[in-house]
Parts: sequence; structure tokens; C-alpha cells
Amino acid sequence: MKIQDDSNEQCGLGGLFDQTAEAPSGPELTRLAARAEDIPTRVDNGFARKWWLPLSVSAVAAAAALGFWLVEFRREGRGVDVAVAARAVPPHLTADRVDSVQGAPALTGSSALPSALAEEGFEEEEPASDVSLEASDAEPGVLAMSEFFEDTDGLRAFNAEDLFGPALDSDVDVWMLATNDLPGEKR
Amino acid sequence: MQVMTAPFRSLAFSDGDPDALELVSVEAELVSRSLRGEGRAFSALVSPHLPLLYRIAHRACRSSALAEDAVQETLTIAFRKLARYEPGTSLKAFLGAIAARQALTLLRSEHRRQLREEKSSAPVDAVTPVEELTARRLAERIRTALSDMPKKRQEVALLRLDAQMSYLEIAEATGTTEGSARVLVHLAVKELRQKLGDLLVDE
Repeated sequence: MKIQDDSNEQCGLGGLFDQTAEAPSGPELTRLAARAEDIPTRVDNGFARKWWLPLSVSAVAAAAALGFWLVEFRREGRGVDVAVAARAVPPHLTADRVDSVQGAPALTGSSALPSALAEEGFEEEEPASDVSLEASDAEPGVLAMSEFFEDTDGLRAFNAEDLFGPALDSDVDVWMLATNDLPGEKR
Repeated sequence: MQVMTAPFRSLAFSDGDPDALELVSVEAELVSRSLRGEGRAFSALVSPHLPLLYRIAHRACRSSALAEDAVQETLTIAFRKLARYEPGTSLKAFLGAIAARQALTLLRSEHRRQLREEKSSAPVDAVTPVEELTARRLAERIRTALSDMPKKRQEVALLRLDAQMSYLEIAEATGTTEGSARVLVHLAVKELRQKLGDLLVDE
């Protein structure tokens, strides 16, 4: 292709382009220079935002998903025990207490552990039947987590020696009152 | 650092001109400091070229605010690519190429916007002086003529007519040979003359 000298044509167009060109004003130039000054910092931050923040968020999300899955897994495994425990609540407990027991995770006999043991080849003990649990005079072996700590806190509030009985007859009433709230001492 | 160890391919360097050599070393120092995150060094490096970048950006869009944003975007891209720049080569071509590509994107969106506005037949601002209106229409004609051309021609037209680069610089900016740059400029000028011929006659 033969390129002819088009410098004259370019001059005409160049003039047209110059005529319609916009030059930045002083304040605009100052603003642009200031913006340029910010760019190295901003671009670095942009890099961090672009890579590290999404990575961190992903890691947290993955951990949360794993935690949720573990909780769900444990809850599914424990479902039978909770049902058994709920039926094992003695009738003298009030309705609201039953609710709290059903709603709270059981402390005893976590099914996840026996299941895991069974998977590894260990014999798992037969769960106590409803009849045997009902026949027992003892309080049910299942306590809500909140109740457990509540009772433990109550235990800490008293002198351990008090558990062996009052030293004086005059202290019997106080002793009865103090031990009334302890687990297994409900009357 | 990569920039400091990169072989200089500067014409000034090969000429052995002491002033040019000093300029190259100052530029290399500014590039190096910019890459270390010094904002002032980057600002000092690009400041001489800001009017040119603004002119190219404003060619593609009608508003000053948009042009400023486009210049900032150009500078951001330039900073990201700065490690690839070899001090002593044309920084004008380096920045101009990025600005032209940004302008092409702006031109496309501006052209679409213009078409939408024409369809909605928005009333012309009555308070605008006649001269200003004429100038705006002229600029609009050029913008439309540019946006109707193939992408490569748009780019070289901006670099030649707005940035007033040499063929060598255009070749460097567009990644072609000087001969190809000449051909592309010739084709772009020819097409623009066909579209804007009436304006040139009036001149």
C-alpha cells in the first residue's frame, strides 16, 4: 500500500481537534495531581481488598459451615437419646421443667461418642429402657446445661461441710433449707 | 528491582546526551520510588502528562467530571503496569496508549448515551451561548466520527491528532511497527476527512 504524504490533511484535522480540545483548568490539574498522589496507596489497598479480604471471608465462611455441619451431625446422632431422656422425666417435675429438659442438650451419654466407639469395633451398652428408668427412684440422669451450672453455682455457695449434716439441732432448719436446692435433694 | 535492572532502550541514552541521560536517571528514580508506594514520586512522574491525558479523556466524554475520573482510571492502570515500563522509553507513549484505550471505552458508552438522548429528544439547553453550543456540536461530530471507526483507527487517531505523537511513539504505544502505524494513521485521517470534510471546508 502506497502511503501518500497526508501531512496537509492532518494539519487540517489537527486544527479541528485543537479547536475542540479541552484543557484542564488549574484547579482540575491540582485535583488530578492530588489524585495521582493517592494512587500508589490506593492500589496497594485495592490489592489487599482484592485478594486477602475475600480469602479471609472465605476461610471464616468455611469454618462456620464446618461448625454448623458438626453441630447438625451431633444433633442428629443425639436425637434418640433426647427422646428417651424426655420420657424419663419423672411426673413430679412441672411442665415448664420438662420443656427446659427437652429443649436443652443432654449432658449424659452423648450418643456421638458411643456411636464413634461402635464404629471402631467397641461394644456399645444397651440404652436403659423406659421401664427401668421409670422404676428408678433417682432423679433422671439428664439435666439441662443451664440447670447443671445453676446447681453447681448453688453448690459452690455453701460450705461443703454443711453437706454432712448440721452440727447442732438448732441448725437443722437452716441445713434443710440450704440443701433443698441441691441436685437429688428435691422434696 | 525490575525497573532498575531493565535494559534501557532509550534513543536519548544511545545519543549520549548528558541532559537526556540525567532525565532518564531521574525518571528511573521516580519510577522506582513510585513502585515502592511513594505517592509524591508517582505524581511528579505523571504530572507533565496530565494535560495530555485530560485532553484525550475529554475527547471521549462530554463532562469534565467524567474526564477527571477517566484520567484517574488511566493513572491507576498506568501504576499497575509501571513495573513493565522501561525508563528512557517514551512515558508519553506509555501513558497515551492507556489513555487512548480508556477513551475508546468511554467513546462507546458516550455514543450509546447520545443515541438514547436523541431518541428521547431532550430539549436543548436554552441558556447556552451560541458559540458554546456550536463548539459542543463540533466536538460531538468529531466524537461520533471517531466512534464509528474501527477500534485501532480510533486509537491511532487519538494518539496522532490529540496527543500529537510521532509515528515511532504511536508504534510503541500500540505495539506495532512504525510502518504499520503510518498506514493506520493514514487510514484514520482519510476516514475522518470523509466524515468531517464539510467542517474542514468551512475552516
